Amino acid sequence: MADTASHRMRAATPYWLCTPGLILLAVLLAVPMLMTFLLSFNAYSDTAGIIHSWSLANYAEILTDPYFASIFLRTLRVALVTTLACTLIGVPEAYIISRLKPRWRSLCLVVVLGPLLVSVVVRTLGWQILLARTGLINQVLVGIGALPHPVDLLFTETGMDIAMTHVMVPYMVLAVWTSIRQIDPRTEQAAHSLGANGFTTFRRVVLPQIVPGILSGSIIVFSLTASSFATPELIGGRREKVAATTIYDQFLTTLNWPEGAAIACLLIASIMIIVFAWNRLLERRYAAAAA
Amino acid sequence: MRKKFFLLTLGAVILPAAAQAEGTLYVAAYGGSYQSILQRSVFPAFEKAHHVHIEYIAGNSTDTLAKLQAEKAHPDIDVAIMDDGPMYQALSLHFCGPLKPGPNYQNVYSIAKISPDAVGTGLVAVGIAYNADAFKKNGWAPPNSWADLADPKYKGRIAMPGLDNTYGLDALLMYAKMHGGGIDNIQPGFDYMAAKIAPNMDAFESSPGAMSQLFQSGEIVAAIWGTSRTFSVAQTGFPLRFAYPKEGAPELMDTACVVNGAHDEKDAQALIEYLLSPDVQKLFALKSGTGPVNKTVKLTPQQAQNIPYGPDVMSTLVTFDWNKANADRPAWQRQWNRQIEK
Amino acid sequence: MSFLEIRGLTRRYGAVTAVDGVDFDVREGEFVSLLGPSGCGKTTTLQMIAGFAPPDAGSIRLDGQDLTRMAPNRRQIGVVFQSYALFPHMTVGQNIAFGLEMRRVPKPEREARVRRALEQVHLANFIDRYPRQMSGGQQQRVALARALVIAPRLLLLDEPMSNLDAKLKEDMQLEIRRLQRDLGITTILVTHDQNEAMALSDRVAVMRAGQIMRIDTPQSAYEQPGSHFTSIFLGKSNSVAARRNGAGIILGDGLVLEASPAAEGLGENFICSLRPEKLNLCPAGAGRLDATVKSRIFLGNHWLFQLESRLGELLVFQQNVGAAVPAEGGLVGLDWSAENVVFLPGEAERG
Repeated sequence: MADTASHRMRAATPYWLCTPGLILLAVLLAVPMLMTFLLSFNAYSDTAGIIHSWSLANYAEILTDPYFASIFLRTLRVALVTTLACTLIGVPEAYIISRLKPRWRSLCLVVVLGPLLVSVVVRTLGWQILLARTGLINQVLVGIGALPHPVDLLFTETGMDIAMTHVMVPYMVLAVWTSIRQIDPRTEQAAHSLGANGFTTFRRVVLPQIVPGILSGSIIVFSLTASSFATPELIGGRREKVAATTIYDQFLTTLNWPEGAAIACLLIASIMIIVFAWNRLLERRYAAAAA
Repeated sequence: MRKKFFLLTLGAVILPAAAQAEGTLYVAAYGGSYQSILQRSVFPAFEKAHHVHIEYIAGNSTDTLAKLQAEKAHPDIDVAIMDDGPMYQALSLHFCGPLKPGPNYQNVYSIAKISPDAVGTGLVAVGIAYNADAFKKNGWAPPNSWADLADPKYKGRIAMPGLDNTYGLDALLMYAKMHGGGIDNIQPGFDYMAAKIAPNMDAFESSPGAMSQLFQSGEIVAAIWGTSRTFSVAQTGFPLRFAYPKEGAPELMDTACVVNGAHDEKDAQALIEYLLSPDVQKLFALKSGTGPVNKTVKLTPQQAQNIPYGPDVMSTLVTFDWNKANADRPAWQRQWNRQIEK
Repeated sequence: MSFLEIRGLTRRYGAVTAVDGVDFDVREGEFVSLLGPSGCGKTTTLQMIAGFAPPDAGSIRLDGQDLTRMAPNRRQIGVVFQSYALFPHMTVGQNIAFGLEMRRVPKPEREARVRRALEQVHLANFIDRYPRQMSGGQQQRVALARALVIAPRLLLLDEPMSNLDAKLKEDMQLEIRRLQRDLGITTILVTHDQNEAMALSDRVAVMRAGQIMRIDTPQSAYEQPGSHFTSIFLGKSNSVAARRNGAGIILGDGLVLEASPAAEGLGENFICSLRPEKLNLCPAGAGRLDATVKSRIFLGNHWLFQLESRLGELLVFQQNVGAAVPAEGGLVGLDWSAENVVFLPGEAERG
């Protein structure tokens, strides 16, 4: 009898040990998110402030107003383009680094991941200088004759794509890198012995095996980009609004917190839907590789 | 014997600390050059005289207003400094408490006494800031009218703050007034700006730091801006000049109030009196380019350049009914987002 | 000219010379093993032949063609790896078909050849399985089929059976030997297992510190090791210090041995090697010397005796013919015939 009682207590110990962490998570994450969710159902008046009534009016307005539709479209477009660019750049980058000699490999990893140590605001301000009409990029392109006159990159969606890709590539490289480390390098040698050249080996043997890394990397990059604030604010400016900057405006300028909360909830929902769908699609296609 | 010695030592350590014990006064005001002037030249004397430490909370007017709204039940901020437009909003939402007028307050222009609960501390005019060197290089005459900004030669080379910033709102109101409308009929302003002004804009930039950056990198050559900001950039040696448009320059004031329910009310009231004193007003004029609200301040013509001072300039200043503007502002903001800032 | 010619093959890793001027030939259809302890350079040699590591010096010629600097994907050499290296995201059938796809073999022929390859390794029903759904032995057979289906000129096996358990290993060894004989494919096996090497190979190359010590048929290499290292690596050996005494030979502390032409040209001091299976037990006093039984171990088909004698510790194998065997602690006599004595140069070394 005493054995089962103390055994049950011991079995419950892991749950008790989890409690402090769970409380922290609940207080700092779950509760504010719940409060935001509830706030999105309230109303707002310019004279009376936040009114604690309950309705779906905010959601109705956001989902029917083409203004908000264009903002969400831009948000998802930038996230998609950035994820694509990060995949095209990050996957070969991670592969090449993994095949370097150890001394060069460590150096290159530091170079690729180093930007993560610098504040994203500082990096983005750097991009402001580079992308300006008189900035380095335009100077070089016009100087070598590739462009007849400077092109607008700052305060454009393209400029946002460029800066966001730079910010997000390290995350993609990291995710793919861990996947690459788990591949048996002999499979590449086997492919070579069977007649495959470098590129074919990469495409047929390496790439399918790192799909889990690409999947997690693209999910991270997509979510972070769709919800990012600093870079769209600094590079996109007030004209190229995305969801996060619109939420910021609502909370700080128009003071319409309920509408801001509704936009935030819709943003989270759309990210989650897209991420789950993407996850299912890739897992179904590459279930074989999930060893 | 040892116990006595211990108590003596303890007392010797604690008493001086107690004698120097300071409270903290929280002041919410603009960032950038305004902040550095206050923290370097204005606050230290006050902190010493009143044995108080001032904690600075930087933010533009709408940021500070949002903070006051968030803290309404338990305010942390003691003194709030904002543009008059948002200050009117704060007043209508009862964020401010009554002022205790002192000798400096009596010498203030009536235009600055906007309410028993708030007072102007500096005058700013809104007009066109321009890069004098760039204009000379291009052979352009300095701008002298709001309509100049519609000129196609400026396309992509000018900027203005958004409607969330008072300068942006002033511009919209001016354009409405110039085209048969006004504060009661804002649509002509929107139509004209959407058609002629917005397409010329490189960016809508509300942050003063970012706007300076746009000037200094050469991205823009002119902007709708205020005298105080123009003044601070010009102080760094950059060839920025201010032009008073002939149709009139909207005035706005830096205003200050004691927050309703502030912890340190005594020091808060004393600080506002201090800000209105002739010495501090002259300091503001010389260092940040705001026009003095204290009638007794004297400036030489050289010192008064780019500053709203003197009867000529004071006569071009245009005032708007902020209570009315505030009521309509949220709706205008929605329209602005959809029609102008896209 | 031989089918495969290796001349002066060298590979260095920093200050270490992994392969030091290796020369050998392989005839078409021959099965050669590279045998040696870890670090002897056998795997590196194989990697250079396959093209996975560039040689620092030397040449590789296959069927008259110089392969030394050729990319591995053009060498037409089949490789089976120790970890099998099957493509985990492909089925067994797709794994095997891969090499044929690279050669642009049309689909019907490809499918037929894949099926035939799987039948050869007795895995016809596994064509749609994934590697992770199969046992180690099955994966290894797939790896073999994958290497063989492309009809390579040369087959390289890199310790493919070291991960298998003993019984499976034996079965696979026989299987590989059969396949190799049936297909007539020139094969090089790298292994540290001397029994495996001797069982499968036409010739065994014993390697040590980057060089080939001895390359010959298993029996010749075993009976005439040529060096002390080879004598103790290939099978077990009793190594006894020997020295010349006039026309005769003295072993150990004074046992006299008859003169032998095999001891010519080995200098003053050399080694006498006696294989345990070539020593005979007889009653005490009836042999060349006496010894005490320190321990005896029963190994099923034979006994292993550890004896203490004037020549030091000696190992003796005696076949289990059902007769009584000396007990531990007992005194026995040892004998051997003169032609079973092997003389090797040098001082006695550690095994």
